[in-house]
Amino acid sequence: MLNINFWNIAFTVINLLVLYFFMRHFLVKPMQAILEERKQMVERDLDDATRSKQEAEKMKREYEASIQNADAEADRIVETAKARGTEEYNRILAQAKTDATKKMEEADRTIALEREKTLSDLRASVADLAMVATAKLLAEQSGPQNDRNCYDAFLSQSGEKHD
Amino acid sequence: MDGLVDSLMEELNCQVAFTIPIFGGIDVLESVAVTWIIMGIMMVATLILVHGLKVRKIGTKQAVLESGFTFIWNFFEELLGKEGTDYIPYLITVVLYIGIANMIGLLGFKSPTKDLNVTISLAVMSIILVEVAGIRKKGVKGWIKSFAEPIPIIAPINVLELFIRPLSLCMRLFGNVLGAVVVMALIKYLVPLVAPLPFSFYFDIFDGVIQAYVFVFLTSLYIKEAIE
Repeated sequence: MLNINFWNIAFTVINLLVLYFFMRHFLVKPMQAILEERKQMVERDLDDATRSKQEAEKMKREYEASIQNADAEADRIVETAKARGTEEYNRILAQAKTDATKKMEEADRTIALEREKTLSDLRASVADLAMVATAKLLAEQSGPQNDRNCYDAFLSQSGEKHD
Repeated sequence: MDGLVDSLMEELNCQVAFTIPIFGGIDVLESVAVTWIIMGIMMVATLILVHGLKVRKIGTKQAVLESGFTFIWNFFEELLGKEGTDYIPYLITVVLYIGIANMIGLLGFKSPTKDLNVTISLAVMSIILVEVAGIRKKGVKGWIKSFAEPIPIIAPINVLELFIRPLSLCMRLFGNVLGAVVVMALIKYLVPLVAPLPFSFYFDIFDGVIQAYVFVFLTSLYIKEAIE
């Protein structure tokens, strides 16, 4: 119990040292290595995850921006097309109105000219006729027979002219 | 009464296991032989447990081993700080050894910690470790100067501590284990049936673990003090 024995102290010290080196080499080092490896793996995975998330968010922002741009672009195109359509419509309408007015005026003018021309032609014809009738009347002796011939001649002549 | 004395003496005496026939015969005590058995158990268990460690998809065995190892490691790291991690493997070895040694009585062996030679060895190694830690941290001059801190007048007390600390470590462990054995022997003598069971749980298991804990806890505190 209380016998202190140098050799046994030495043996125990040696035993403990052997045990210590064994445990350090076969228990502590492998455990530390594996725990360290796991720690690094977890950190790496977390880093990867963070990076992936950031990339995804960036892409999402880009897509959203491009979609908004596309919407705006579409709106703009439709607006432009509408404006141009209205403008064209108004222009064509105005053009048509102007054209119609011009045509009407021309027609009026043509009709008026025609009328003038006809009237002057008619007037010349009547004057000629009067002249011819007067000449006939003066050239031939008057009498009922003569008058009758005179009317017939007038009527036939003017009828010929107006055929 | 003679029977009690005989059984107590049988429990308390450390038999010579065998004699090495050199230098006129070196007696190898039972405690050393049992230490070899404990070493064998620890080594085989270590090799089995550490075999095939993986980083991913670990099994139950590795999960238990890792949580246990991390628990003990963190316990010492909290006591010693980041600078003291070099000493953790030794402390882990010692706490496992003392724990198993205190409980190996349950398997019918005599606890090596019941032998003063073993506790002296453990205490001497602890104090050497503490002083080596101090020298490594402060250098020989700083280590010598540290005896005169905080004021030179208490230097003798600090020098005395060099002997008191291992003595207290050694005697605390030895006394507790020896006392537990004596009390258990008395209880078994008085009431041989059933009654020793709860006491056995306390003295053989709980007290054994507590003493292992106290031993490494104090050693850690001394190391921490030395490397501060």
